[in-house]
Amino acid sequence: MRLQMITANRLKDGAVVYLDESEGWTRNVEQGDSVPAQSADLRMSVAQKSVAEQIVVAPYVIDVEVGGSRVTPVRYREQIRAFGPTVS
Amino acid sequence: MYQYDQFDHTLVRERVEEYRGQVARRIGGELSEEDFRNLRLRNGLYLQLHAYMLRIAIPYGLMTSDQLRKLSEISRNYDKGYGHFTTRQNFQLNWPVLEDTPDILEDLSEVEMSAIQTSGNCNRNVTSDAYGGVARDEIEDPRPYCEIIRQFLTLHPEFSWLPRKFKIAVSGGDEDRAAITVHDIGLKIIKNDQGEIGFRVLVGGGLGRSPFVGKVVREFLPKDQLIRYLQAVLRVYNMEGRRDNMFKARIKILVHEIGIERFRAKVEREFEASENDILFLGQAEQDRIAAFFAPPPYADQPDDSSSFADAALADPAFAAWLNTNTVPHKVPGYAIVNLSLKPASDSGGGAPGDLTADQMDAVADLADRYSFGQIRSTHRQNLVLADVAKTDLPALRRELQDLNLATPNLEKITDIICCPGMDYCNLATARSIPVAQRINERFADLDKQHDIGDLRINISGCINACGHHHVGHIGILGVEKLGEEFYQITLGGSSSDDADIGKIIGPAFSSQDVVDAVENLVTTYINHRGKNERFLDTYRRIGQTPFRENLYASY
Repeated sequence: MRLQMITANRLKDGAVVYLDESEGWTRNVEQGDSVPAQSADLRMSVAQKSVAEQIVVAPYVIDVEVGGSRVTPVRYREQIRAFGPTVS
Repeated sequence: MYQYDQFDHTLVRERVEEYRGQVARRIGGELSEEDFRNLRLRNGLYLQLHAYMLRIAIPYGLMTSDQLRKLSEISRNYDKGYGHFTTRQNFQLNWPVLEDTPDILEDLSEVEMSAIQTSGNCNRNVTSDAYGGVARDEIEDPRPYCEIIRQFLTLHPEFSWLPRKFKIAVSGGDEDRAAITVHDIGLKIIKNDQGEIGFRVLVGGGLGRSPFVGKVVREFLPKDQLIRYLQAVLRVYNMEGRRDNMFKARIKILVHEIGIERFRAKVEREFEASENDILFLGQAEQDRIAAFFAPPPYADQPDDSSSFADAALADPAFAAWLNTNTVPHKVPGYAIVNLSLKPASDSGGGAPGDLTADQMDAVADLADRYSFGQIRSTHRQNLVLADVAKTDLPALRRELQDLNLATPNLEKITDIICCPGMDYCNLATARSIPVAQRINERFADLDKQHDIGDLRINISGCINACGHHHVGHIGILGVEKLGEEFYQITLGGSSSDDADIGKIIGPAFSSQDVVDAVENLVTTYINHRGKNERFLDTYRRIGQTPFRENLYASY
């Protein structure tokens, strides 16, 4: 089953965040809410509410893979967003 | 060094307060992101992959030690303790918080700095030869003209909403060290047959997805007509540049589509129409601005100092640094010193162009002690102490070594121009910094670097070409193919007097293979080079075929 998650940047500091089950935002992709692709649109409507409340900007949907307890974005761009720069 | 007058101070302070109000309204919900975006960009604030990024202007790359200390203080107080010098001589913070950015701009204003027009569709930082005022081949110092252009185009109401961003570079020497051929307008100070000094004006250069070398639009422009002519070029562009497609909106596309002859005719008509304009740049105003860039109080120094000559004889490493990272100065007894921001891999490597706050403070102190308190940033992402007494070179080099800023690799294979790439940039399609670091490791042997000689590698993480890959002798462009990073290689580019756009050599290489590919190209060069031939010379003499055949034979 194709899983997806909503990500955005937090308005105040630009930090990468993920929509969680309680309709809040978490910095940790592992704590983001992975949902079947067909449910992603519904989750986007929650994200748009956070946009209107000046919590996040530019939300969008990403594909994720869940292996055991580990959640990993599919695209390497999103992996870098999730885990930070690969260089020190 | 130009010093703000009351007008400048007022303008910058008012701008900070205006921006402070905009940020407050954004956080308070009165401004949408769509409305705020244009406002923050006008003040240099981007939203990147992981955080905001603030681009701070260093006009024509020149700063005082106090300004560098302020950048250090800001990096420490508001960011993660480091910053990045860009190919347009600016400075970037990778992790500022939105709420802090008005305070950062206020702190900058205390030392006569700002982030005005470091983004947006307006005239950006006017860049210059980093050796302005001190180069031996200089006809005239380009910095006063950069400052005049900066003043003319700062918040200029007619040119604040151009079709696309606009970049001007000015060079004053025989050698182009400011990449003027790949700017929207390139100005080269020249002397005509009558011995008069003026500008050769190039227009329509640029990189990105449609790279072009600029074309000469005016062979000789008298200095007093500079502003009036720039106005004419900008007016033609503002009226006729495309606004329907951002990928075709740069002036280079307009020049390419209508041809340089038609473009020139339009500019000349506009120029004539403004004949009685107030933009005549009289000698008195030229002299007023030039006075800010008067030479420092040089001491009488012997041009051949026994102390540094003895040090060079006794220490081959010092001699290598002297030969590679220092440049003859126009004043006897002085030298131009380049600080490499591309340190050797065995001493930590790092991202090309990055400097820690501690290093910034230390460089500021060195500038005070050895170079009249001024520092320059270069378009190759290094720093310059432009006025160092030769007698001080051994001591300065020792201190630079302690700071990891004395790697003798200027214009060598590890002196890589590199954009932030996907590690930081929202637009990138691949990482660029790790590739630069791996090339740095592969060619860590300084003897080998010096044997290879002058070889410029430029790396971009996407087609927008912030890493100037098109004009690298070897250019590397990161692309995404089927969800993986690949790297397309171009050969034969240059942004100097022999400017050219590099040609793609063949299919792209995987991340794993790209450094081997670079080494293969270097080996082909070594096997074919003639006496005193640079990589670029050999490539231009023998063409792409030998490089391509060797490169793809093993893949």
